[in-house]
Amino acid sequence: MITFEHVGLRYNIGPEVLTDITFTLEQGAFHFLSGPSGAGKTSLMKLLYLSQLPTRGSVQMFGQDVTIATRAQRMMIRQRIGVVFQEFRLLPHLSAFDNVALPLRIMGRKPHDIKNACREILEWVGLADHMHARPEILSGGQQQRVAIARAVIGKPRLLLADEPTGSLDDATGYRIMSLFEQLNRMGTTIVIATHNQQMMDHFNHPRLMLDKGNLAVQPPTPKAALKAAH
Amino acid sequence: MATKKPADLALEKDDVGTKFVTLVVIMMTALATLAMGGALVVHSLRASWVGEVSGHMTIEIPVTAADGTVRETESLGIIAEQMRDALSKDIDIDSVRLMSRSDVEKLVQPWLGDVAGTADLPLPALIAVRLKHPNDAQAIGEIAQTVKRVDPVATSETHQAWLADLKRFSLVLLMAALLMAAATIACSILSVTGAVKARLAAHHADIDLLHVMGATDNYIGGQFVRLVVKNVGRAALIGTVAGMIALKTGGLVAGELQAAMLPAFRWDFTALLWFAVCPALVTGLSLLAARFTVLRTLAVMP
Ligand SMILES: Nc1ncnc2c1ncn2[C@@H]1O[C@H](COP(=O)(O)OP(=O)(O)OP(=O)(O)O)[C@@H](O)[C@H]1O
Ligand SMILES: [Mg+2]
Repeated sequence: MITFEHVGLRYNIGPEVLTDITFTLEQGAFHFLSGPSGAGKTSLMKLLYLSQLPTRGSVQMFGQDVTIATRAQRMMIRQRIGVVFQEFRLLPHLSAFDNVALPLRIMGRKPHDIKNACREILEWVGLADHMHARPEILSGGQQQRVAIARAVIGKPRLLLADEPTGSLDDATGYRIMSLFEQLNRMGTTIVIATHNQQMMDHFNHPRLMLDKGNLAVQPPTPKAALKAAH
Repeated sequence: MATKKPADLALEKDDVGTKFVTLVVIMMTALATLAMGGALVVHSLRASWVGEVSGHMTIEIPVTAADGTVRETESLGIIAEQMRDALSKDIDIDSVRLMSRSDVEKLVQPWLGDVAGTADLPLPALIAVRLKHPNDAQAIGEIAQTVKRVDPVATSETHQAWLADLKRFSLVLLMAALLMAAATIACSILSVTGAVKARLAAHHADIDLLHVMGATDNYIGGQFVRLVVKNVGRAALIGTVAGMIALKTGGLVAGELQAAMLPAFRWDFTALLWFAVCPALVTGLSLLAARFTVLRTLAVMP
């Protein structure tokens, strides 16, 4: 479903942040993306949600080469992707409800459907009582949950989450991870960037390890080894 | 519950830009409306005068004869009667009328003040002629010859030159009004473009977010277009109404000053249509300018 071939990325005239990245994500895959700070995780995410185009190499998404796709085609690809940003990026003047409604409004859904879907998802992330609160009066963890709700409400085919549990306590973090697993079981391909070793061990999905702009794919740790470690 | 759908971008928060655009548009449309009002007044003035004078000639038998002697009122009257009889034979003339002394007094009153009672003040004799065919140049030439034959110093006047002047003046005023409207449009386009650019920069992160969510250029452009239509449209309307109120009160003041030469300005449908030209164009073209500016900025995003 997603194929990167010899992809390189540089910002303006800076050095290459990503060099020669090659990997494939199958439909329904679940991957962690890890690596030291500054390794280029967010940059790789930006390539995946088409906020950046590669400076070299080719990126295929949903059967289209994004570098030669038209702007209109890229818009359609973007509408199938949900993103949880590392810094949330909620619109400050909109309520939690309206922030979550945004992707559906962009897709042109009916107001009635939007209302029901938003309520349901906000209840699910435990923010039913904060539906009309603006982000500034929400805690970091609550904002993160709004951001997650916004990313998944459009039932995306690809969900990208950059440190989605960074501001959450363990219990909420695990609950959100279970939501992601649920979405994954329904067919959504998921990539989660995280530093959280425990989380990666617990959910045990294949890992894309980034270091100094290079990518290595690690298969999930065998169950036996995990048990032995515990 | 969630009542009105809020705008995705908090564009309305940029108050300084909005106020500037609003002020510019209000002032400019008000001025354009005044200019348009002036043009319309002169236009209707011309129309009413054209109706009154076309097809008419005025023959003036001056007080001073060719040799410089001042002619008595009585002898002027005799010449005037000869003139009338001579003209009456002309088949191109519909009617000839000697104007009474009181008619003439009325005509000169605005320039000389109240001359009634000064019966010995010499006044020229005037003859009003109505033509069968208003634009028959040959007939007009023949009449002029007849007039010269009866009294060499008498003059005939078709008012055409004067009407042409008036027509030119009314065209100039209309051009000025249209130029004013054009300047208004240019100003509002410039200030709207500036304001939109500033907003695009200020909201770049939010626009990028919508972009990443798959919002089309139309969707994002629409956010700006709605705001521009709302603000510029309202400002243009306020300016136009203010200009029309100024015209109306100006008309009242002129009425009090007894500027009786000005016909009452008619607020008919055509006039309202002319007044609507400027605000409609200002709003429409500002909208296009805003859209164009937004789309050009979005086009460089991946
Ligand atoms: N917009 C940008 N312009 C220029 N350089 C950038 C930009 N964004 C990131 N970089 C650079 O690219 C490199 C990788 O950054 P990136 O944000 O992808 O790292 P990361 O792996 O997400 O780090 P972290 O774990 O701290 O979030 C860094 O050296 C950073 O300085
Ligand atoms: Mg990052």
